[in-house]
Amino acid sequence: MQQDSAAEKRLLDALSTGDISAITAIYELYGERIYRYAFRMLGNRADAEDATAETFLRVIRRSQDLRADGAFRTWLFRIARNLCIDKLRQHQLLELPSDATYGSGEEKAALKIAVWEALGDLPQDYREPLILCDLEDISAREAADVLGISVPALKSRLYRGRRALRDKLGPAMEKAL
Amino acid sequence: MKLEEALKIVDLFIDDELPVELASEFKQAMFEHPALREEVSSLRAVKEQLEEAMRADAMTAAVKEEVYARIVAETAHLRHAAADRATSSQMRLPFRGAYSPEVRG
Repeated sequence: MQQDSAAEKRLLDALSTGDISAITAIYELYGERIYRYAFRMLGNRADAEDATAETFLRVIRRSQDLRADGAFRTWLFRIARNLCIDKLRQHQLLELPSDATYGSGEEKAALKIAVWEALGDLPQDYREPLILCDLEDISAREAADVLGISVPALKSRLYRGRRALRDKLGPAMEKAL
Repeated sequence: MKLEEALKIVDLFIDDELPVELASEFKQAMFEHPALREEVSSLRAVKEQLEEAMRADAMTAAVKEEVYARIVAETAHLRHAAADRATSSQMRLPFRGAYSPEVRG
């Protein structure tokens, strides 16, 4: 589990006692990570921006429940995750980001599109561990906490997810590599 | 290490979670089994492609500002309430201070 720094503890204490200004520093610490996570979950910037703003607003609304006990990051990602899942339910499909064709060459761009599509096609149970562990570089313990599952279950889904992604990407990867 | 055993711990090797001795055995097994090399190589490639495809999604400064502005706007009433509380407590301070030893002296 990620341990909060002393500075972070002070910020969380301040926020829990009604000091709304502390959210500025908390946003500075985590805003980009939450946005990136939301973008990877949702595949479009507008929804990622909404989810990011709403995540921090929920932190403020629930600030009385805050405990600076080292689990804040997990809690924050869990809020973001729930918001992303709600949005995914509304949209049904993961959209291809508008900048997916950015890249130095056609093959690279094609592979990027293929990766987004393959990731979007994966069952959510496989997609989420891939995003948290392989992209966000969150520990297995913490990712398991975010998803509310055991570490062995998390690892099993992660490993199956990698293979499922490989199977879906097979031909596209061979072309690009 | 047999191929079947090694294939069960490929992901632990890729994630650098194997104890040193076991990792060494695993590397030896990679020399001996082309199928294991292929498995490691393809799974590493998937991880790399995933990271590469998702790389261009950093939050720009403009987006960061925009999202922050929304958070500030939607919490304006809370900020005002906090400011009011601070102001009312400041107004009490001089009254209490008038009875401090320094003031009396």
